[in-house]
Amino acid sequence: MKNLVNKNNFPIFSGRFKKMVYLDSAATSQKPKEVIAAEKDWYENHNANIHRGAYKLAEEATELFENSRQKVADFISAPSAKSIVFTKGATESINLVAGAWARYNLKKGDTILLTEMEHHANIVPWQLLSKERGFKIKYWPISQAGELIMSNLDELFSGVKFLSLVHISNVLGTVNQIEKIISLAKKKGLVVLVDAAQSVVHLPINVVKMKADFLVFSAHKMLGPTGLGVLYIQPDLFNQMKPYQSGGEMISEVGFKSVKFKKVPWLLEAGTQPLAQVFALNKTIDYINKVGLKNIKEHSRSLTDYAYLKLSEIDGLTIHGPSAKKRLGLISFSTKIIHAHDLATLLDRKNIFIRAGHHCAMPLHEKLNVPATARISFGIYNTKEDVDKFIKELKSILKQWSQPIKKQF
Amino acid sequence: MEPTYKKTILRHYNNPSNKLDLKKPTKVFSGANPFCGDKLEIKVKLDGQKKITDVSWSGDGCVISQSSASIFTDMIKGKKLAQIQKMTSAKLLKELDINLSPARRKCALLPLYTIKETANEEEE
Repeated sequence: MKNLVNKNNFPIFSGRFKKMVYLDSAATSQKPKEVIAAEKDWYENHNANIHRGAYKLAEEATELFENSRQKVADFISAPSAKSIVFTKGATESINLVAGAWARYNLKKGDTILLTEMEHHANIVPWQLLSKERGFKIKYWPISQAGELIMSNLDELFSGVKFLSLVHISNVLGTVNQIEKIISLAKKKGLVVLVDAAQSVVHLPINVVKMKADFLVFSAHKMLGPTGLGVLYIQPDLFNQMKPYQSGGEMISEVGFKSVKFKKVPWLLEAGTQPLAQVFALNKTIDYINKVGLKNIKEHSRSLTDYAYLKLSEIDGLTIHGPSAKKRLGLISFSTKIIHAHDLATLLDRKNIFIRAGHHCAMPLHEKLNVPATARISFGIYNTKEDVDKFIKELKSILKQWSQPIKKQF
Repeated sequence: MEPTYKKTILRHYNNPSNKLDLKKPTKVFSGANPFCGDKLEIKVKLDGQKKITDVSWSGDGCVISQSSASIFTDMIKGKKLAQIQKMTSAKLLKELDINLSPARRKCALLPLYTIKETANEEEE
């Protein structure tokens, strides 16, 4: 297994935490130096507010901002840059769809379909909205193996107007058969939102092929800056969008008693946008394209396969979710020998950073019937050696904790 | 010695005090740690003076939360409930006397928040 990139291109790996084995990229990814430099470059060379100001610096800033919108559109194969709305993260993107689309385009009694493997960000906004507007929520069940149950879809989809589902589960690692699911849902006239927060950094996304109506992701999980997210809107739905937040930038004309709004995407971008971050996202996509998403996918695939194999060889350890080939980028597991939190603390002592808990998916953990799981997740900078170090320490901790208490210390 | 998983802590974890099911409790407190999904239930029996005459607890969780529940329930026996509900986080942490990161403090303090009925808030 070859290393995909030089870890030293990510400054955090040569700084204070030189020795760390970072296995929490599903929470947030580390940043290549190009992205960090881009943010600095914005402030040093390009900073002015956009869509206003008739001077060179502001005009150039506007152009750079709109170029970045085009860059994002190309990245997910969206036919038009107008489909790209900048938000502060995948969470806000979902809240935006709830507040500016579902609120006005679903009727009382309509059913929203979510899956049992959703992140809280794709559950709670719908719960709140449904309470307010009288919508119903139904959950698409998952199998013991952690996959969506694909039988009886006619019954599942009946009465459903809107489906919101995750592409890659942040707990199970399951890669949902998104194209197949959306094409079936479309036959029943459902509008579909795809949460691509985990998938966007592991595999190429093509919104046209996928036929998503909405697709959301965060910049920070894809090697980019924090505080920035993306919402893709399918052009047929532009006219159904109402204002989300209101204020400057999103209007075309304001009188004391009247207001005219701009069109999508600007309608949905009230106030000054995170300009430096959008510029840095542009450079993030350049970086990803340079490495190549096809190579990234292969790298994630081989790390996932390798870690899965190594974990499955350990006695008394349960891996949650499907087999290696049906998942990508992450593995959650638990063991009766030690609680996930204690394990994370002990690995931390060895500079191995993993996630423990319910990973913002409490309903899923209820279904799995485990209070907490431990999770390892990969970024493009991870290596086979990282997995080996983790497995070695994991085995040594499990060995120590399996022994009777008196012998332990 | 490992500063978090020291002997006394592990002894309580492997052989917890008061991890029973008290029959006919006067009051039942439930708490949960939203960070990790740990759940805890503490049952107390009170006398006429609202003094805790007996206590039991149940729950699943990490070494820290489990041993803390064991130690905490030992601490509160014979004390007045109102007095226990005023106990500071610092006092319990001092009693545990282990090295904890801010995130793991929440594990240790779960029994105290449970009885204070403020499971989600850490006092300043």
